[in-house]
Amino acid sequence: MSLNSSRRRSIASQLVWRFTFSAALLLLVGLGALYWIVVQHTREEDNAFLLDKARALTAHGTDARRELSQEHAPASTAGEPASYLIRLIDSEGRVINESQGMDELVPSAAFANAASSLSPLEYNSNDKWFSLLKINVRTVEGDYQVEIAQDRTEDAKFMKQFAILLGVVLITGAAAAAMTAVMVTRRGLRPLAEMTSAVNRIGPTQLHERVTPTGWPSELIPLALAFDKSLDRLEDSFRRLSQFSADLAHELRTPVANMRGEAEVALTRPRTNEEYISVIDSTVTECEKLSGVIDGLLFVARADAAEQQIQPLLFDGRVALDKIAAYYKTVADEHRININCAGRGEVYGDRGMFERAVGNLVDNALRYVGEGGKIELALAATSDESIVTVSDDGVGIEKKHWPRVFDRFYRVDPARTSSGAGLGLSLVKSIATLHGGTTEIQSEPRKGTKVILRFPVADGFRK
Amino acid sequence: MRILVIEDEKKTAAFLAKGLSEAGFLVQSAADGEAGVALGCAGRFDLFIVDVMLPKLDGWAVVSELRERSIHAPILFLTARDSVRDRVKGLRLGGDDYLVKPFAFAELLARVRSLLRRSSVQSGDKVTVADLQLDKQHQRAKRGGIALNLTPKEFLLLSHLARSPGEVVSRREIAQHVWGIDFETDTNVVDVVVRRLRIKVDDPFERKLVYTVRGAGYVLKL
Repeated sequence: MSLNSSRRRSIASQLVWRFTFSAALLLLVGLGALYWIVVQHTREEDNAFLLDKARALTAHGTDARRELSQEHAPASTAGEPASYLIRLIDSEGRVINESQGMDELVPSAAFANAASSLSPLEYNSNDKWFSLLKINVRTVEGDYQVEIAQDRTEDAKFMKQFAILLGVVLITGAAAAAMTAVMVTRRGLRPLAEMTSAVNRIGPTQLHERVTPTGWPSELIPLALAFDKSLDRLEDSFRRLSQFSADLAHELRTPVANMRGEAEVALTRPRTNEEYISVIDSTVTECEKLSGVIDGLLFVARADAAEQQIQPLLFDGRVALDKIAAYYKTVADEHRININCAGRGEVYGDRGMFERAVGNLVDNALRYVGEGGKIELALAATSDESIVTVSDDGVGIEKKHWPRVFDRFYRVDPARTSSGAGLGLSLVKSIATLHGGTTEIQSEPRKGTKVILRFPVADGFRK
Repeated sequence: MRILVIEDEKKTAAFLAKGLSEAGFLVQSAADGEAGVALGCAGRFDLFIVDVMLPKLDGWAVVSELRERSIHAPILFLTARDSVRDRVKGLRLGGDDYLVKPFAFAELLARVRSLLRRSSVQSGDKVTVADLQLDKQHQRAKRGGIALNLTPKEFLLLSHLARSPGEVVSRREIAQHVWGIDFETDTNVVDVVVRRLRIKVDDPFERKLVYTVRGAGYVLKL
C-alpha cells in the first residue's frame, strides 16, 4: 500500500518538497549559527565589562571602601549596555552602600548563588534582566563583599528582535526556495509532457511514426530509443498480423468461393450426371484443402497459446531422422533427389512433434530442390541441446525473406503459385517454440538453404 | 444393423442418415441429448453416433447415461473439438472411437463397420483377396499365380489394405502403419507409393483392385 501511494505521488511534488526541505534546513543551520555567535559575542563583552569592574575594585586595596561608598552608581539608564548596580556589604552582613533603587530591583537574596568569577548568574526582575557577580574585597579595615548587577535588558530585547528577524529571513528564504523549486521542476519536466504528446500522436494508424531521439534532454533519449524500438516490434507484429489475416482470408475464401461458384453454376440449368459428379468431386477436393488449412492453423494457434501439451522424452534422434528420410525416399527417388542422414545424438522432446517438424522441413526442401539435387539431414548433440540441420542445394531464399519465412502463410513467391498453404515452416517454428527451442535459416540464392532447429535438453537429462 | 445418430446439426444428421441408410443400416436420429438417451434406452441399437456438443445433455453425459443403464453397444463420437484432452475424456467415459469434423464420409463408414465387426479383420499369415494372395511370413505377393515384385514398404501397404477389403483406409492411417509417420504434410508420399503399387498390382491385370476414394483414402476391393 505505502509503496503504491509513494509511487503514485508526482515527481514534481516530491522534488519540490525535498528541495524546499533541504533549503529550509540549510537556512536554519546557517541562521542558528549566526544567532549563536552574536549572542555569545554580546555576552562575552558584557561579562568582560563586569569582570573589569570587579578587578578594578579589588585592585584599589585600602581605598576601596571609601571609593565604593562614594561612588555614585547610577540606576540603570536606558541605552547604556554598561549600566550597572553595586552594593557594598561588610563582614557582618550590613549594607554599607548600594546604588539607588537596587534594593528593589536586585535584593541581596538574589546573590545567594552568584559566583565570584567568570560566569555571572542570570537574574530576572520586573521585566529586566541582570547578570549578577559577587566578589570579596579585603582591605585594612576589614573584608567586604561587593555585589554587582549588570542590567542586560537591552541586550535581551535586541536578541529577541534579532531572533524574530532571523525567523522572518528563514521563512522568506524557504518560501523563495519552494518557488524556485516549483519553477525549476516545471521547466525540467516539460520535455516529459512533450514526449507524452509525441507518443499520444502514435496510434494504430500511424505506427510508422517515431518519437525520434533527437532534440530530447539526454536523460530522455534512452526512453525515446526504447519506445521507438518497442514501436518497431509492434509495427512488425502488426504488419505480420495484417499480412496473416490477408493470407488467411485468401486461403479460406478461395476454396469456399470455388465450391460455391461451381455449385451455383451447376444449378442454373439441368446437367448431365458426369457434370454433377465432377462438381461434387471438386467440392470434395476443396473441402480437403480447407480441412488441411484449418488443421494446420489450429495446431499453430494452440502451440502459440501454449495450449498444446507436450510429453517430452529422451529418444534417439538419428532413428527419427532415418524414419523420415525413408518416408520421403519414394518421392525423392522420383525426382532423382538424394536424401542423406548424418550424425547422431539424442533429442529431448515429443517424438511425434519432432518428426513432424523435421518432416515439414524435408517436405519444404523437396519443393525447392531440382532434379538430381540433394537434401541432407544432420544431427548433432551437445550437453545442453540437440541441433538438427536440414540443408538442400535448391533455389535458395533471398536474405530479405529470412525473418519471415517462419510466419504463417508466408511465401517467398508472392503469386502464391506453389502448392501447399504455406503453414509448414510456421508449424516447425511452433514446435520448436513449444520445446523451448529455436529455428534459424541460412540461405543463398541458387546455392541452397539450410534450416537449423535447436531443441534444448532439460536439466535432468543432461549427460 | 440399427444405428442411432444423436446430432443436433440438421444437415449433418440428414447426410449421416442418408449415407448410412444407403450403406444398408437402419438409422434413427435424435436432435438432443435427452431425446437421444430416451430413444437409446427404448430401442435396441447396435451402434450410437454421438455429437459432443448437444443441447440439453452433452455427448459425454449421454454416453455416461447409456453406460449407466447397461447399454454396451459401441459408441462413435463426432466432434469439432479435437484437443487430446477431449479425446481422452470421450474414450474414458466409454466411447469406442472418435472422429473429428470435418471427416470423410467413407472414413466414417469404415469406422462404423470396423466397430460393428471388429473380429472380421483378416489376420493370419496368408491373406487372399480375389486372385491376390499375400504371404506375410515370407513377404511375398502373388496375383493370378504370378509373383509380384514388391518393395517391403509396398508389401506392407498392400497387406494393410487387404486386412479389411472393402473398407477405406485413410492416407494418414497408411503413413502411420507403413512408415510409423503420424503427421500429414503438403507432399503426399502415400499417393506416390500407391501409384507405384498400382503399376505392379493393377496395371498388368484387367481387374483393378486398388481404388481411390476422393477425400478419404484408398480401398482394396473387387
